[in-house]
Amino acid sequence: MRFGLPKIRVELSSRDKKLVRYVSFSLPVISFMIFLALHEKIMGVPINFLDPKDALLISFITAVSLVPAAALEFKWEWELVTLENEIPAFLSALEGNLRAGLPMPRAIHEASKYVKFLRGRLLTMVKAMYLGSTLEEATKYLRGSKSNLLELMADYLSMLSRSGEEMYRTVREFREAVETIVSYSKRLRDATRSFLATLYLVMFVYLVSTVIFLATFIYPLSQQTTTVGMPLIGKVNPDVMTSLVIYGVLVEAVTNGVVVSYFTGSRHVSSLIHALILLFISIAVYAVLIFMKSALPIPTVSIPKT
Amino acid sequence: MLSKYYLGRSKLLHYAAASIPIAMGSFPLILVLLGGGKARFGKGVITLPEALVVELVMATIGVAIILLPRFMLSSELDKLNLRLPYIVLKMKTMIAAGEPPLKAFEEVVKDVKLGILDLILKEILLGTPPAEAVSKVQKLVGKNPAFDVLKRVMTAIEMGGESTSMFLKDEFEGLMSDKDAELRKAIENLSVIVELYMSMGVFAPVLGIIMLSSLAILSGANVTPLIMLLVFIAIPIFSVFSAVMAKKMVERALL
Repeated sequence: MRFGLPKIRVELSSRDKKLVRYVSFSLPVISFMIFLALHEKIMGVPINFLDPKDALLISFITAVSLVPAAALEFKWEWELVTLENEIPAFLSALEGNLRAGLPMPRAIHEASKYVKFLRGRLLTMVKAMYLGSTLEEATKYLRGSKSNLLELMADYLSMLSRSGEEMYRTVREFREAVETIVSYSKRLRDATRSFLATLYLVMFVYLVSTVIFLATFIYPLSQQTTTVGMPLIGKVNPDVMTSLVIYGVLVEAVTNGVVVSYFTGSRHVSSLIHALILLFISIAVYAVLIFMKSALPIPTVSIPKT
Repeated sequence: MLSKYYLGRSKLLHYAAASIPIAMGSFPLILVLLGGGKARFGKGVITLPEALVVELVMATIGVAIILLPRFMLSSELDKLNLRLPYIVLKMKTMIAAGEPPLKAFEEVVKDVKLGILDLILKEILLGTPPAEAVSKVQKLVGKNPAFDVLKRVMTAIEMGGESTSMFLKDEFEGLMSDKDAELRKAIENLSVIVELYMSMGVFAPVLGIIMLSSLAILSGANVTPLIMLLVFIAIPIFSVFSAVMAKKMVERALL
């Protein structure tokens, strides 16, 4: 039989998260640099930023390297919202346990069974208390997230540890106030959820209109010549145009992801993941367009000789 | 209160620093006026319209420096208004858990980190009664609804006992119903910004790309730099502008 101290799991603090965030958001720059350095060695030709295939590759590399950042931002936002939503349930259970006469550490331990995502932090806190920390010291395991509500609960619990009997009365009052805030935050999220649809609409419009424009106007026109042998398309280079359209979708996706996160009142750039999904779809569509260009039906234009 | 935001915490130094860009901008303008409409700078020649543009830009920078402290103060007041429900809730919670009211206020000031609250606390610690301390700071800063709430809270602190907690509970509920109204207003304003963003940030660039390339085919002009400008400069700038506007709007509804 093994004996040992219970393990204390410490969540990432907001400072650690900041560091992880810097690293994950610098990944696109790092991967772009690696791409620049290795392009000629692998492909055998120097990079041409206005070549559609290179533009597609750059967009793809940027999108792939943004995946960790987007996934982390989405996860952190989701965790934060879920944690805050669980606080009233925890406080309700805590109130019941205190009313039943359980001592504080035990009351928190029992109440943690009624929550799922907050449980980790609560159990760490309880373990620290069993190991000899005071409640006030142990509340540090609740802190470090971006949630004001969780910070407030930590403050409240440390205050509670100093106060005496009939704690459940103040717990009820605190729970009611927290419920008001949680329901307000829910209303805010529900009201701004429709703005996420904006992101999809915007990218869809950009994708469809540029694909139609390239496939039915630019590409057919680039293959037609005037009677004197001049290209009908003039100085417009279809490859350059395609590359710029691809860079456009990349810029639109990243900026939309950031802007929509602000529209929805997120504390992280959580909408970036939706933007990346749309970016991957766009890259796939443009890849089909570029590689199947020769298979596109080109309408014949007959120019009367004068 | 404003002195906190002056450069070097001195009004004189601040205004002196603000006048530097204005003076620098007027230098080419004076040279142009003295030179009869033209002035030579090394190998280049600057004319009156260019000198006026330089002066305009530098004067704008100077005025921005002069207005900076007022802007900072107004942004601090905005933050105070936004955080009022949280401030009241935290005080109410701590007082309900047995913390003395003044200690609770001290904790809140430490947590919220706002210069205005620091100033009120300083006044209280110097012996001014809490409600009077708020009035004193209000005289320094100017009128703002947040001070009325703070005054009521401070009066409640002076009352002490059960009534303080009861009062803060009512105040919190009142502030939350105000927040509900703010939420409705913020959503309405956001809808307008979303429409603006959709038309200017997305539909306009698509239309721009299509129109520019169609016109280039007809005229034979090279539009690649213009499209690059649109994709790499215009879209990001407009997105940043929309993000800042959205942040301002949503912040009003956040706690």
